[in-house]
Amino acid sequence: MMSEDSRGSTARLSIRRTASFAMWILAGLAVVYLGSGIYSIAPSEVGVVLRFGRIAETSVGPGIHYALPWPVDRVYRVPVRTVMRLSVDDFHEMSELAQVFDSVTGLASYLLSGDNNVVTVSCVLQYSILDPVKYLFALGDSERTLRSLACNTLIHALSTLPVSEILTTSKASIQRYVEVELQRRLDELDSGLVITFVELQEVRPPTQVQEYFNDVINAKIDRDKAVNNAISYRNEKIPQAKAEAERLIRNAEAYQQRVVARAEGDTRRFLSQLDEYQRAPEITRRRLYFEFLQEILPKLRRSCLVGQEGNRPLARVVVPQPGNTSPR
Amino acid sequence: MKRALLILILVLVVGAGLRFCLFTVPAGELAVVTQFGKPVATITEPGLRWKLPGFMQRVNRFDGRVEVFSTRPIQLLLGDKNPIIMTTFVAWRVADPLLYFRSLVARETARGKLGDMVVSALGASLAHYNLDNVINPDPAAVKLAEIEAAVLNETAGQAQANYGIEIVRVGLRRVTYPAIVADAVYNRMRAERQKEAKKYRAEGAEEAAKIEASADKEVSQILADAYKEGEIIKGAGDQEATRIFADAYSRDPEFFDFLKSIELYRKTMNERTTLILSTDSDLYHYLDSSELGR
Repeated sequence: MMSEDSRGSTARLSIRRTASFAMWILAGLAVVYLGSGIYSIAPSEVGVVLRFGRIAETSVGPGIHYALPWPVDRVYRVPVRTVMRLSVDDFHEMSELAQVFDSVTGLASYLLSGDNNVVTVSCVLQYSILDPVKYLFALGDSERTLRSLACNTLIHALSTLPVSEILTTSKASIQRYVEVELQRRLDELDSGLVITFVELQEVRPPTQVQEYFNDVINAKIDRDKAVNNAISYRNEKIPQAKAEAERLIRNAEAYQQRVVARAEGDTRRFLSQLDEYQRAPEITRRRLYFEFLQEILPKLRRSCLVGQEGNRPLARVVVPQPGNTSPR
Repeated sequence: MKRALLILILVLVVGAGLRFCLFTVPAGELAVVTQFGKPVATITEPGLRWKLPGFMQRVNRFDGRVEVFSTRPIQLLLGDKNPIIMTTFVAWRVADPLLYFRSLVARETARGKLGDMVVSALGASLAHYNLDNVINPDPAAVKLAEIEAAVLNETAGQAQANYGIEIVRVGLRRVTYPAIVADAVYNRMRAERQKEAKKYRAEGAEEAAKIEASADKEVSQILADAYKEGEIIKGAGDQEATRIFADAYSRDPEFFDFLKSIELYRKTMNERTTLILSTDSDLYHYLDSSELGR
């Protein structure tokens, strides 16, 4: 009896011990369970909390927070401050997407310009999440949607532009158009996304016709070169001509000065001689005549005299007669 | 102690009961509750719901968010008989879960049906438009938005009525030509570029010729003007010189003649000249009378 009793009490004791141990375990599990509601939000994120599926919190800031544990609350972390990048190369002939599209459909990837030319284009988008709730619950696959809408916007953008503008001047305006129109389409679908940057990375004619487009560029260069050559021809010839003209005029002026100076010199000399001459005309005349003969006769190889009887005196023609130079 | 055990058992039983009788529909989801396969409730608002335990009532959940998918490329004929290959995207969502559940259930089936509807509507609409309405440098003539809207109008009601699906937007995803047409386009592009290149080169030659010709003209003008001015200056010089000479020489023309004659002979006589002097001349006269004769 005693032993049974003591055995029973030992059993009861061990049950009690087991029970209290189990209680401790349970309490521990409860603490762990309740503790699982602690969560943290990174600085670049925003937290959205659903309580029994309903939106309870839409913008939990960065830090440590508490939500009721599963299955009551569910926390979504949305990277609102992260800028995401999407390369829309569906219309680029070399892209992987284009190769897949080609292998599946046998079609090349390109865009059509307004004037029915083919252009290969790749475009890069940067975007971020503006409205976490819309981002999570209004739209399924944001990236796929964004790609589809971007392709659509590009088709619209290029459908009204001639290829020459697309390749040269319109890049910025296409980017602007895509940014505005793509945003409008995204808003229509409640995407919660915002486009921050659109860049057309490569816009060029397809390889098959590339060289012909290059030749147009070369032709423009050739044209400019021809014009520039002509301009430099003009820039060379006209100053040359001006220099030549200057030279002609200066020469003429020199001539003028020279003839005038010579005239003055000659006449001055003449007048001086005349002065002297008028003082003693006969003597001066003779002196000049003999001076002349003195100078000229030694230079001559032959000279002859002709008498006045026989021939007519030829010398009258040849030698001036000091006294008879003017007819009397 | 027994009470603690009782509470524990109670919690477990209640938990199990809740587990089988309560369910949540989160934001972005839709649900249809069926009882032995028969729909009894449609849930479009998120939250916590009751139902009969598992085997009696079942919850069928659907994604209520907008989904976008692309149709396969298909060759279509425009109103002007131009063939064109188009791919569209379709943005859609389940609007009426009950109808959707009854008619389709699987998303893949839904995409197939919607794709077929959209493509056939697109084919029908395109017959009213020409290539000029698809691509045109004149923005007013391009009717892409109109075509997309027409396809949406055509299909939206049908999808809503038949499948409980709302088509949110339909748009072109790709526009390409069949290979043969593309080749023709490439050839035309080549020809156009060649023409353009030729035009630029011709323009260059023309412009250059114009510039050079005008330069030549200017050069000859400059030289002619300079010649004219030069001659005027020379003429003025000659005139002045002539006046100076005339003024001076007219004071004794006879003496001038005399001096000029001497100068002329001095300049024109050289060793080959033969001088013939008359005995009448002064020189001989002096030779004869004063030296030889005396």
